[in-house]
Amino acid sequence: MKKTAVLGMLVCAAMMLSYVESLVELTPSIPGIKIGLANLVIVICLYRYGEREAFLVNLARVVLGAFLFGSLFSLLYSLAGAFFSLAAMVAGKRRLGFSLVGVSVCGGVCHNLGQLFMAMAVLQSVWVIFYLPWLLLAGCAAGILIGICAGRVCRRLPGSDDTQGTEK
Amino acid sequence: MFEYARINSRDLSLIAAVLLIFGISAFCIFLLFAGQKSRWVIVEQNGDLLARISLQEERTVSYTCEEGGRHVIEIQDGRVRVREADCPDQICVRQGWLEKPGQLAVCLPHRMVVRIEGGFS
Repeated sequence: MKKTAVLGMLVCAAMMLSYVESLVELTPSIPGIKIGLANLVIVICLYRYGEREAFLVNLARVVLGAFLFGSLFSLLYSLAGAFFSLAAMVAGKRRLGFSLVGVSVCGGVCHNLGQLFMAMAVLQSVWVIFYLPWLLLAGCAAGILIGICAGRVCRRLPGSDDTQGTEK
Repeated sequence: MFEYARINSRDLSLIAAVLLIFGISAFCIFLLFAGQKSRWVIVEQNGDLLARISLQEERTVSYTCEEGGRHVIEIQDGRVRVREADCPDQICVRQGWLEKPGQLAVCLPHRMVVRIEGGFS
């Protein structure tokens, strides 16, 4: 039961971070560039609780976020980014031996790729590829930042141990 | 403790790989449009061509699609922008003026793309 409560709080934290982030716009000329603060929560959840929990928190925050601040349309778009990103992070953590920073870079870059592919499919236009380099660069930078922050947070959370948080 | 939070060499190779792909893709896009001058404004919806207008013209056109999406596209001084739109996110409007070949403004809810097509000489 305690875990359910903590996961609920994580969903809440992720949604608040998305909301705060939606108030500032970094680059109007290239849509989609953002820090991805909500991914901080997902990365922490992935390390402290595990993959299943990270998946559930991700799903809950995207669906609730879309109903509160977005539309059915933005839901489709967010889901593409969120789950492509989580799949990449799980793969990076399990198989590729990345640290938290590498995992979060995977997440950042793949989030942007997922959204770009979704945009290409929806618009039926290959020209959206024009944004690709900038989205890669932004995803990488945001991933490094989020990875470093998540590492700091994980160290300070009570009950931290060296088991990579897969138990409990 | 916290080995997983320390940057390791694999992370650095990943970051290097991403930067490399960034470099290659940016260079390819640069080559694709290098030496071109902005010529036409292309308006597409659902992948279909709606309009192809010369950038030399000074005009404001409005498009309404069957699903109810409306966009006002303004061409002025060799630049183009989406001046108004009735989509919920207004991303196309905030993208502002486009002037270089390849630049584009997209509207995901209405599946519309406004882009600049270049030409040589």
